[in-house]
Amino acid sequence: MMAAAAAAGGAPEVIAQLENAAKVLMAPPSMVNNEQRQHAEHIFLSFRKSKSPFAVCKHILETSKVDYVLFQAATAIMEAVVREWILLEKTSIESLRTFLLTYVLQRPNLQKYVREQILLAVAVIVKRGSLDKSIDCKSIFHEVSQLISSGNPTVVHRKIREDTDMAQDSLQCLAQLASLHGPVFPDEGSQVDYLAHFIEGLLNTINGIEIEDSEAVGISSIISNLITVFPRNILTAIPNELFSSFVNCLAHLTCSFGRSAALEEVLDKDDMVYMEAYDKLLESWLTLVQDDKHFHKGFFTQHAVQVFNSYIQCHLAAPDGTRNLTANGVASREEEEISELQEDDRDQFCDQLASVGMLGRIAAEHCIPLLTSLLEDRVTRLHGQLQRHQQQLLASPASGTIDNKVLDDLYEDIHWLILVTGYLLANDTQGETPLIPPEVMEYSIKHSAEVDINTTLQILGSPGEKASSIPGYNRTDSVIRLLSAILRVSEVESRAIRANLTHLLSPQMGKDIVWFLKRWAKTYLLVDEKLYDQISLPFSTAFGADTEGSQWIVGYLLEKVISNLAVWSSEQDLANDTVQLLVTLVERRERANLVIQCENWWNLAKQFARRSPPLHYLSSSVQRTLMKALVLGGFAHMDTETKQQYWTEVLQPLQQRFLNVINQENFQQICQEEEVKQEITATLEALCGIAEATQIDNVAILFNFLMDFLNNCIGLMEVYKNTPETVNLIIEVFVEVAHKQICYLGEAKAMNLYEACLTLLQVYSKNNLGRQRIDVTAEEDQYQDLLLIMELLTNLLSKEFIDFSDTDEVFRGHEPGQATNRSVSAADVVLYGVNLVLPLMSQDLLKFPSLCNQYYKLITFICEIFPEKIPQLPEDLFKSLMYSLELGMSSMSSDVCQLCLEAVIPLAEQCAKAQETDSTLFLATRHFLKMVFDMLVLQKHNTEMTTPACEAFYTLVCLHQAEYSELVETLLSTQQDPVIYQRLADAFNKLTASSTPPTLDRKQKMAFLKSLEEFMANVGGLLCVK
Amino acid sequence: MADELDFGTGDAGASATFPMQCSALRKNGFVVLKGRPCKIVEMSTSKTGKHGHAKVRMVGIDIFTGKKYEDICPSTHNMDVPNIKRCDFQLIGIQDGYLSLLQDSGEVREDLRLPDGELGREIEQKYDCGEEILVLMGRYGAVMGHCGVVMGWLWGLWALWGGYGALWGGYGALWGGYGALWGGYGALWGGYGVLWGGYGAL
Repeated sequence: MMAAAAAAGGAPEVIAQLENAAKVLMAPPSMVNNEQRQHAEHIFLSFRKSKSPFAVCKHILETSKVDYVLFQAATAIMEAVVREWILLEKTSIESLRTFLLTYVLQRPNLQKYVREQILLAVAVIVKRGSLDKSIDCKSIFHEVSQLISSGNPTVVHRKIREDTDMAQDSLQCLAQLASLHGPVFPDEGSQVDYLAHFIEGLLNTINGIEIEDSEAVGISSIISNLITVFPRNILTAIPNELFSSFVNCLAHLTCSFGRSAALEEVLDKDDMVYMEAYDKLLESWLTLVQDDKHFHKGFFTQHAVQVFNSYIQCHLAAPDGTRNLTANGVASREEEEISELQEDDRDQFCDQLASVGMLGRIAAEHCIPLLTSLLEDRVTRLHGQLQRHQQQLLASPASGTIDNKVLDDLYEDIHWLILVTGYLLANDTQGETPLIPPEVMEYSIKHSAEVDINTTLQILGSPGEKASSIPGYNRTDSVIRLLSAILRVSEVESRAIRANLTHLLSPQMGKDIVWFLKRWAKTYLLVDEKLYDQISLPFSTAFGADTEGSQWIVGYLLEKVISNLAVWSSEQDLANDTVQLLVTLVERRERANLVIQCENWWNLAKQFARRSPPLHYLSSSVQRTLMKALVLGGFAHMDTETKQQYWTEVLQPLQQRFLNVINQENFQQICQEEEVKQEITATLEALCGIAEATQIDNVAILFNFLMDFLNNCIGLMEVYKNTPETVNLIIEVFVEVAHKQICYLGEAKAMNLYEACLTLLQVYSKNNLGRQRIDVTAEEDQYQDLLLIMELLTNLLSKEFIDFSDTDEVFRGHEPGQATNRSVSAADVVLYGVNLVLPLMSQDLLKFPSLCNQYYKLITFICEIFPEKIPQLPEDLFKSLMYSLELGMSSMSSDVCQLCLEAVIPLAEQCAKAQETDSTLFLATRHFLKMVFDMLVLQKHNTEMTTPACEAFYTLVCLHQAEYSELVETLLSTQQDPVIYQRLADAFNKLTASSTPPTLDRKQKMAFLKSLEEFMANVGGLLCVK
Repeated sequence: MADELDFGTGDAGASATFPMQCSALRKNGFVVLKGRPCKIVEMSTSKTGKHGHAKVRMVGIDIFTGKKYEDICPSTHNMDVPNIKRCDFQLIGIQDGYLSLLQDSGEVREDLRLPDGELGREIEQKYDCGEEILVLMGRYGAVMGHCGVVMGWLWGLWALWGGYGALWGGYGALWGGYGALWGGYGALWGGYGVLWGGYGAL
């Protein structure tokens, strides 16, 4: 209806109508009723959907004085351009873009939101244009070049920066231009020219002005885009001097933004613009310095020193640093409440720290000695301060108030120094063996000739003494001295504990220490020389295999762990980091061999088995991990007798205590007594820990050990059926065993586990039959059991993807081979489980994200692995499964939608294979065809969904060719506009041209997917027109 | 009802409470808050300043009155944990607001009042409909007669519940021959359907 009115002649009426509607929308609620408001909204909605609204929109922009109407006109243009892209002449697109750009530049007084919307429309036009292969890339390039040089946007920015809002928008535009790449550039030369021009303009702008708060993020985005998007060879091809100035400017800006970010933190600002800008620039440095091909060694050293120093300075207290100083030099300090949800600095600032650590390596010559001296200084001061406190306490035990300001400042300094040191000396790793960073290795090697090894070992081995009190302390390996500086911090902490000053210590610092030691030990302790081309002599002497140094360190670390677990059981995070350090010490065989030689280790094992204080004060997750460590240690190299003895100390007490409890005649009566429940809970937690310790070379022993328990656990399910937290823990044991072990189990063992799981599910099912969960306000953790069951099923299925087993190869030698008669399969267990879970899952429960994700993960797995079983499901179950998929595709998150699309593919393929055109699954997939067709062609959808949707679509088209043709016919028949009709019909013809008739052949499929992509770009939006 | 409670005298000499370090307490476990035995429903930690020591905040529900209590204390402190015992009884009658309950030993207790409120009404209704009901009772430290409180109910087919005690009474003995029992699992338990409600009470 609006489309008709949009003819140029009707423009004034349209404007009048829109302005009236805007008035209604802007009116206070008391002035208009709901109906009027809805009507007004409707007018705008249909205006935005009107066909080719360009002329009328231009007219509106030029004549209307109502901001909201201008905003809507910009929106309409933006939407229509995308929608009708293939219908538009290229020249008219270009003139539209020029019109919009000039419009903004000529009207500095536009409302912010209107201007943003218009610039957004420009950005969309440029972006859409770069997708279009038919458009001449050269022309875009020329135009942008012209913008850059003649109408130089950075110059424009300088002119318009008086207006803060406008300046931000223009920076956004510049950032977009900074990331220009791809076919826009006709050749490399032009790309270099463009970049040089751009950087020159940028530097001119930045150097000539004092940067406003609002510009920081924009400027850093421009720089970060330039560095990430332009290839190194282009970056280095610009004139040398220009590149140097650029890097100098980057270093200067980074330091300056860093200082401003620190100020923001002091002032506790909500909007941390400088922090965001600082993050971006530090990240750019990481990208830049990681390249060692295009820049000569040492190219960035001076800049690295500059940025590193400024980071350290911002994080240290006065007088060395400026932490917590406001702009006028006043210190501010607040003791705020920090909740457990607050992220630790090492996680919150991990990206910053990774960059700073990397820069520290580049400038190791400067940074490593700097960190050492700062740390050593703080250790001495901390020691002195604690001693003064102790004397004060001895002199007057009653004097309660101690000002902790000095201590807190020291703790905070040490906190940051340890974090930076940790990130400098070692990398974050997941799974793989972390390597000593080459820069650190080279640095140590370079100086090893001047180093006295014995003094180095002495510095390392005497953490109780001041480093500078050791003769010849300056001729020691700097990397080892930095480590020993942290051991000195650790030693001061331990001594303070022994002097009963624990209450004065910082648990945060305690955490930092063990975090660092874990990170360090993973990388350096018992360094594997085979992994390196060359190795530093001080390193191999101090921490190599078969050295006194490594034996000493292992002993020292173990003592620290044991002390921490006793003293800090009340600090859960600290205990957790501590026990992680212990796991690091034993997870590799070489280190474990040293650990078990310590008497302390055996004491720890015995103490834990006794479940006596202080270890049983630890939180359950810490106890679990401790169990894991103790089990891992048991696989170190020992003679048979010792090994026997070890398991007698560690695992047998667990079994014995458990059997003693459950075999009591009155177990049924006493099972709810707190003491009994605690014993059971502790056992179940320990079992989870044991499962977590699984590795390929111990799975045989651990599986057999755990299987005995699993069977007993099923009995417990019965006893504790009224106690949900215990039931959950029992299921969790199964989840962990399946998670950690199923991939190693051969057929026979896997079947044992399947059987146990099936029985568990049966008991669970029996106990839950008809159970009502009456609490309507129930929270997510009330459904923990369901979540765990789904997790268990998913874990069992994972064997189909990851399977390291070699028909019980790992079990060979542990028991005589037994004939397998396959009675239970993964499919049986899982389908039984699904039978059980599906009826319990309601639409309400899918509102809980964890349940929803786990549920869809599970059903997708099932469809992928057992598509042939799906048609055999009982009718109800089949229906609810199909309904779940439909729901997932239509009204869940994009992740879930993606999973469902992935699930549809194997189902359709299954139908094609079975060739039964009357099966219910066949009918269901027909319905999915319509859904996916609508999703792709008629609805807006998330771009990340395009690939799975296209694949599902093709498979469905193959299966239901007639229905597909029908869908296309129906769609075409609704098009009244002959131009659109023709375009659409052509597009559909083109789409299937390369794959007629469509078959499930890979080559055909790829061809189809490629045409589909083009199809989507051309007509995707066209059909959204009303 | 709260006035009848006597936390001081435990039966068979068991103390009413025992101490436990705050950090070792668990959600769903029990703790004494403001002098009342509570089930912990919420636990979180915080600290004052980055270098401060952990404090634990606990929210508990009084197991007898359902009232909410909250406390915050340093995580190194010891808290009192109540000795809680839970018993299940078969409900065989209601008279003048008192329940007749069949104990495992075969004796009948008639000293427990029908609880007030929703729970009491539900029990009465189920009983009137002729449904078989099991009653859960919590006890905290003191002599049962004085502090026993009906905390919830279960119902199901009496015949099956009858078999229940017998089977589990022999639990220890059966355990050794577990595999054998399991073989007969289907036969023993087939068709066993206990319906659940009142689950949230404890």
